Amino acid sequence: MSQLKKNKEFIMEYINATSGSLKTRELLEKFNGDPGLVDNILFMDSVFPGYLVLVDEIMAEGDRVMVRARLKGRHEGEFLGISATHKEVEVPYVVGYEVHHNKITHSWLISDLLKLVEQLGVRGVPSHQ
Amino acid sequence: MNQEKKNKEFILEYINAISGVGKTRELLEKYNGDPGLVDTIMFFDNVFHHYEYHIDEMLAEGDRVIVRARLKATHEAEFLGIPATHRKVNFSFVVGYEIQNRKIMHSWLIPDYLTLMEQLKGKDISANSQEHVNK
Repeated sequence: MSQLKKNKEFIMEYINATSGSLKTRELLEKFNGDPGLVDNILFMDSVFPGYLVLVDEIMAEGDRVMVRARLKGRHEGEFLGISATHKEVEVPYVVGYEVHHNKITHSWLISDLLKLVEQLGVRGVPSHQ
Repeated sequence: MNQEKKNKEFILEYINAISGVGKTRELLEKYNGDPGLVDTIMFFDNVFHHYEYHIDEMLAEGDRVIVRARLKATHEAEFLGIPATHRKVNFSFVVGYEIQNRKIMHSWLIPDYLTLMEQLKGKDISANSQEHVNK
């Protein structure tokens, strides 16, 4: 099996293991060696408990994998100054992983916050200052 | 040359042609057959005149190319209810292209609105790391 296929399968295994249930640090760290991303996921899981990851596109090249997906969950905690609305949201995002020996070593993530705040019923993008 | 390499070179040619200049519909449509994306670019180029398109990462597979990049410009017109601030901005976005016969046929785009809004409110843009954009 090619490296690209292996890396994609590893990322799919990771997503399937973490999607739709409460995400613990222990579970995430089995796959994910990027502390910034682990913290970010734990934070998002506290706001949208047990959120689902719906994958729309996955692409691999060299040691990198990019995933375009949607976070689907219910808004149960404060986010960017917006208190829990208990609304269902679906937020598009793209995440890039660098994978070494079945472990994520670096990452970046960009999400469509405009779409999120629209779904929460807020106008404009607030900022967290 | 394989298809991925050809498509990457095509996208590089497209980016070099539109970065840092006024983006006309005529210029964009030479490369871009996705009307929604052309409209979005025209809108952004009006808000961020002649914006520069800086590539951080590019991946290709089959007929698709994904680019992570930054838009660098000055804020010159109303955006999401914020009138022109004339501030410099430098924010990330990710764009995916589907290419057929040297033409973009479909696309999607996700800008880092949070960083952009912070910059429009006066946050120092040098704090925007290009390598780690964990939000």
